[in-house]
Amino acid sequence: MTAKSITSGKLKRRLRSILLFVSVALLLAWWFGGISYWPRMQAVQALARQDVDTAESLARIAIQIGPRTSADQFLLATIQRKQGDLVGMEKTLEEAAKFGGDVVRSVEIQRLLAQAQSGRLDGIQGQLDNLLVRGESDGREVIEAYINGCLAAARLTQAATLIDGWIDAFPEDAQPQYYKGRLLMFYNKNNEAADAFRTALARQPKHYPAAYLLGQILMQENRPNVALIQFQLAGQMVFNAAPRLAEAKALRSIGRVEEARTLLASIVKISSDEIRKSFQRVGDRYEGLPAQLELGNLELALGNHSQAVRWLDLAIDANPGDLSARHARGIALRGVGRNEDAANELQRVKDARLALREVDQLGDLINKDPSLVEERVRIGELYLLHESKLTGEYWLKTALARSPHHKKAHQLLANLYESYAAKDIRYAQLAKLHRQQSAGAAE
Amino acid sequence: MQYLNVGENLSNPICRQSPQVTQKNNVVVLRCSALSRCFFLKPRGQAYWCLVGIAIFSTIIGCRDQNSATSPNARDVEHEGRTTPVEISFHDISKSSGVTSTYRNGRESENYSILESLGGGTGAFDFDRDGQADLFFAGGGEFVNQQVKGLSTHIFRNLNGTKFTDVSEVSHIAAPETFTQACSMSDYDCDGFPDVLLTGYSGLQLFRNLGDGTFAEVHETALLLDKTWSSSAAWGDLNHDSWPDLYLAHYVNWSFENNPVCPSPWPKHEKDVCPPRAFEALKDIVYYSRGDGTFYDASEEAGLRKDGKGLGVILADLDHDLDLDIYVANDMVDNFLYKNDGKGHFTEDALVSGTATDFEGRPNGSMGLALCDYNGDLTPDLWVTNFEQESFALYKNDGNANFVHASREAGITAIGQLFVGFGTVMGDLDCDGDEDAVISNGHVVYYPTVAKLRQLPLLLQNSGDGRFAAVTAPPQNYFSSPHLGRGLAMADWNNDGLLDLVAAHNNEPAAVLLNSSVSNYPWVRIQLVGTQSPRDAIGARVVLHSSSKNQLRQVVGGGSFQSQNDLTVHFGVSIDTQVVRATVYWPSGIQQSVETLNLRQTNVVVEK
Repeated sequence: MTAKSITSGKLKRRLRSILLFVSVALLLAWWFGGISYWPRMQAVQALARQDVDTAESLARIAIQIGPRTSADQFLLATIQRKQGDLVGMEKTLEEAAKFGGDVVRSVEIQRLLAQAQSGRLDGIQGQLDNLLVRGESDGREVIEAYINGCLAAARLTQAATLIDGWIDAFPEDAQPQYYKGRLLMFYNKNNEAADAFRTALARQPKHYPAAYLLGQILMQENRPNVALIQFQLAGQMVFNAAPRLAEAKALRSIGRVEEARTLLASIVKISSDEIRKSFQRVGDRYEGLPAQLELGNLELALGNHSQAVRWLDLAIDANPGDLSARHARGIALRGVGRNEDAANELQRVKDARLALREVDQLGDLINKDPSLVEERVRIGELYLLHESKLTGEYWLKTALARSPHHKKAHQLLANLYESYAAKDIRYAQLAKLHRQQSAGAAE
Repeated sequence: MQYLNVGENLSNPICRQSPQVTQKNNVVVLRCSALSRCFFLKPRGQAYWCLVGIAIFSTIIGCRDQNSATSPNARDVEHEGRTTPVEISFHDISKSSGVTSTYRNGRESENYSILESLGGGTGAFDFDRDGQADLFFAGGGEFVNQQVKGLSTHIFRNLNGTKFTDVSEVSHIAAPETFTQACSMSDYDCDGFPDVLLTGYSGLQLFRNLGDGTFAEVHETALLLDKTWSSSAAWGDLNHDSWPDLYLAHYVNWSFENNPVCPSPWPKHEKDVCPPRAFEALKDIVYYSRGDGTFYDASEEAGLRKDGKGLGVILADLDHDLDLDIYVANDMVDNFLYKNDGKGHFTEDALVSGTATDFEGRPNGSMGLALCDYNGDLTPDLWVTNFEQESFALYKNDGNANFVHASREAGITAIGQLFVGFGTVMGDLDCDGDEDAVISNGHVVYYPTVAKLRQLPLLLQNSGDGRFAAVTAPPQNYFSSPHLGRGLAMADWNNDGLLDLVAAHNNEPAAVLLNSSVSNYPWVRIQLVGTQSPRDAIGARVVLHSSSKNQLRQVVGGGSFQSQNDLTVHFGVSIDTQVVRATVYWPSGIQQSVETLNLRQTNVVVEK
């Protein structure tokens, strides 16, 4: 036996010991959830800054590499609920239920919060209040779902009360400041809204939705150069079509037209599902094909009329009520010499705008007496007819928030959701619900 | 004075911020790339330690991310901007100039009437023909026992370019008959002396210039008998008979009998001024001259619409067919563009021309107007000031009076604040060969919720490439002080080749602003005198031909907001440019070449 072979044998034994130690350490770490700790914590942090897609990826990693626990499943279910993926949430809750133990109540709570955040608050407000009072669940989760529900159902006063309560209870939280900003934007109080978003960002520098909405306010204030910075921050989101679209608009406003065009050209390739998710994540809304519309507007401004017509045709196909797109198309058609088509398109826009003038008069009445319901329904109807289904839907919901059994409001919403049902089965359920409510109101 | 150059500001703050953001991005990228590299490390022992290291590092970074002190604070980022050297500056000489005029709108009575919101105009015109532009101010009025009363107007004679003297009384122009709003000047009788029309509540006043420094009020003998509330006015030969005609914009049917109570959006205030939609529109009127000093209502003959809530009007040849077209800025309803058939019959074509609305097809609250050629393509573009949360509109003429809304491309949506824009002028303020813009801003309600009551005036410098940048003034400057701005007019008070300004405000003394920019560029002023065309030559187009480029100006009727600019056209010329000649396209159809032009002088060109 040579010295070399002795040394080699010792080395092997030492390596085996290290390997054994490491294996045992890893086994113990896995057993006690240590390996999945990091992705889980990162998921929780991502969730705190409303980066739900990053949170989802990390939560899935935690589930895959860690011991199977209901806690990770509930974390994933919470994330899915916040993503609006209620089907996925249900599946995850079913998985969580398999672990047995005291999970039934937790599953119930998740389902209750899902219902709340969708705006179907009737009949569950007592339960939500109880959850908040008893501290049975994470108060922040409950209040957030409650606020989202109020916003979805256009119960803005109630939402304001909840947001104030959240700020009082957790003054250092970023999220209630974000909701406060959103609510103030509803009321066109942009200065105060911007302050709220800035507060949210000071507390959570990667609060992408707050950055995005702050950017939108800055754009309205003719400050695209500073808005751009916010959009670029928000562009770090996983689904970033909305901030990138906003970035393109800002770039265009500050004269970086080619960059805007390049960016828009990349956004039009993004799937509609990803675009939907992106707008949902930042708390914004859109109709049709916003990138195609912006590209059409850009080409129009550059005098590329035939290109503009091409993009605007796509935008209008996707959203026939888009008066902005139709106006731009009218000007572009004039540019390619289709004067009669241009005149017809522009006249159509004008007629719609004239019809929508009634909205201003109704709005004046509502300003004097916010409890008016018929006027709200009429505004909703006008928007549905002439411009925006989303805006129409919002006004109808404000009417139902004040008069939950208003027959016409339910009818109009049922019609609206039926028109969406072919694309998304969930709308068929909503349509059915409103149709039933409408029938009930008739009886 | 320093200006915020949008082009500079775009790249630099972002370039300075980007490394921070990118740096943070890099951390993320580093984590991912290092993580993936770990899996490929050999021997595997290294890979293990690599993973442990990355995990520790990532946890630290992850913790830091949540409360990172290095993340750019939004407010700090927003306030970071790059400024570039001053090019345009104005010196407020109001106190030393002897000009003392304050427009009164009757707010002290707290009637919350929409009549108060319009404010008054100002005018620059050489009434005594001494070669120096004089000043005029509408006086406004007050409310006494539910009655509308007028207050004195003022005319100031220019003594030496920086000193003025009040000659209102001796010129017999001060007597208040109506609550005045606009002043519009033209030599309506073509006798060589400019006359003054005043619009306002309950009627017109026409002051004929007698040529001896005095005026005679002649609206009745001139048969200008309109008694409805008129806002802006514009003179020009609309029916091609060589006599100036008159377009009158009318607003809404407010009276004490029709003065609804409108709630303030602020809970602490009970009411505020009603929006224009609370009232019916008053139809605009066009008066055609008979050529004998009298006028007749030609609104039907001309084909005017009967709606609109007119606040601003400009007469100009928008399609270069040698007749005057009409553009009307309406409040919250479509603007009008009337195309002239050459005989005084008009077709309203704003919708298809692209000038009725903003780029979304939405009518704006439009107030002030100017004609310009901001991009130097020798076609006249339209510039419109609008209400808060609406972009000021720059309509680029694509030819044949078809326009495209170009505010975004021109940087107008990057001016940095919200404004309620009223009076506006376009001129080459720094004599660098392109037209810059000035806007007078101020709110219309008592208790605004979005933009402020008093607002900064706005100076936009044309960068020469079709984009504008907001000029930032130093403290104590007129442009860094908020005002309740309304009327605005432009002239060269001291004939130094730099265009000066006069601004009227609500319930605040007017400001006389001397252009103090340091510019070495030569300039040319051309005063047109029509012989076959009306003497004022409104509608005449001048193209200045030089070795570097051609420039377009037009003598326009009306413009700004309830105000009157000097009718002399002004060009700044590049320092290395040899001015070759100018071509004048007279409304009469005569095309006249002017082969000799004196730089740094006013050149009088008589139509022949």
